[in-house]
Amino acid sequence: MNLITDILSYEFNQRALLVAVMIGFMNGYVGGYVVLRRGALFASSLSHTLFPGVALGALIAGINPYSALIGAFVMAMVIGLGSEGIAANSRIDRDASMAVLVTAGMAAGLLLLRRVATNIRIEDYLFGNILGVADWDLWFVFMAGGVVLSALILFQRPLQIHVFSPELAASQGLSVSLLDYLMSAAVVITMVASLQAVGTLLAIGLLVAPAATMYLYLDSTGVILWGGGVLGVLIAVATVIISNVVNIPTGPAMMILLASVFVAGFALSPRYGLLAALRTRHAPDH
Amino acid sequence: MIDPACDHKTHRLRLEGIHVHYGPICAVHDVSLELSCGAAVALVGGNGAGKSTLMKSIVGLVPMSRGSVRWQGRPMMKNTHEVAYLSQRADVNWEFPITARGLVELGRYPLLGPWRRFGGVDRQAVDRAMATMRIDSLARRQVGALSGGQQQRVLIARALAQEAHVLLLDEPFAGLDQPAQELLARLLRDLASSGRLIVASHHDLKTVGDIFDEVVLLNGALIAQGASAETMTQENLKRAFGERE
Repeated sequence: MNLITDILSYEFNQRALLVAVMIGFMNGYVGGYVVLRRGALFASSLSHTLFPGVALGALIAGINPYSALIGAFVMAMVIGLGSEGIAANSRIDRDASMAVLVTAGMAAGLLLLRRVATNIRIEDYLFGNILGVADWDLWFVFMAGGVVLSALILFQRPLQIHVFSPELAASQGLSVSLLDYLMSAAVVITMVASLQAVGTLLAIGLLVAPAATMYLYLDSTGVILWGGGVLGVLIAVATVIISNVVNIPTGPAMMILLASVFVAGFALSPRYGLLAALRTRHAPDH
Repeated sequence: MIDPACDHKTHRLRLEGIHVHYGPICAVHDVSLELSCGAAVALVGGNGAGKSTLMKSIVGLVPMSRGSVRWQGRPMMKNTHEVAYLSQRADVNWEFPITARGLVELGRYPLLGPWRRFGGVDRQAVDRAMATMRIDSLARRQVGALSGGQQQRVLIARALAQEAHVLLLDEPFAGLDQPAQELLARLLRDLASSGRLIVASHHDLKTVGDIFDEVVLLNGALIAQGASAETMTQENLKRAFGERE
């Protein structure tokens, strides 16, 4: 009890915990769609666009949190939606077009970075710092979370049909490309909102690991989405507490937690994990 | 018994001069057909004969380069719930976390739209569809844990829950064992007798006559259409499975 009171006595911890709740839930929920759509590779590529975006923002408007977020958002949207657009209008698939655009984006980002001041701390953008979030970040995270979660919950039905089978969605008159754009936009906004707190490298982990762990245990789409959200909150909040108690940076703390939860989930899942695979392999033939 | 909602005298699916191209390749060439509710129709032809493409073009999954589809005398709406296309079982992600009943419930969504409440009428429609396809006892099973025949029946039940009058089935018998094939054939015959139009691509020439009332022979273009016995002549089969004309 004392520990919690101690942690909450600092304003930066209060802000960190509030941000942890929102980005944890948002990432876990959106990640459910990413895992069910088998789009983790796409999302991972998308996360690589954030860093050149930060450099672009810094070049245009100087180094500040606003330019970093807007630059990352614009770059991710251009590359994310651009690759969806190429896939929708050619025989090239989404992953291939994304690979080309991300490489171009990274190269452009590195060139841009050489032209701006060199005091950007790369680690801050790779791992973030949840204990360093400002009031503005808090507002931004909650607004972004509100918009993304409302849109996904509002369009849950068509999205569910789409992730099950895009062909079925199309045959039922749904616009598959619009739903793809909606999902990509949700992923981009979620990653950008998580930038300050967890950085570009951890963003993909927090997005995918909670939902992937839930997918190893649960058999209902809705429960995987909400369960991923809840697990995301637990991991993000635990990160803040652990980094306070053990006095380690939040980035490594979150990375260890995400990896441990996923590995334990994979090992112990009674139906879809290692344990189940071993049991099946050693079951006597009848 | 004829489904009163489906008057097969007026419910006709009419294809007029359908052409479909994949780049420079013509997959379907000038196919015109008229099919009435209350029949089971087999689309027969070799690989690449355009069977799947023709069915997909009817529901708008692949664009036609020319031609039109009319349903009940009017141009077919892209989002009509009255015509359902069921892709090949192998193309479905059976690892998806959904129960058999959950998948059948997806059939109600075209009628409900994104926000209307899933109510008693919808539950009854799902119950009826599952009972018709004899999958009531599988309601709570994950779709990935079902046998091939059960999965096919779940897909068809989804189309019935959608209140589809026309079912376009892509190779529904592929990969099923003998008992599963026989049960599915019986159920498809029942659906046709109750007034629905069943159109299925089929490759087993020995069973075509037992399951289907009509046969449409395709080889890119339409080769022949009619009652199974009269249409499946040596001459027609040679043209359907030989080089394209």
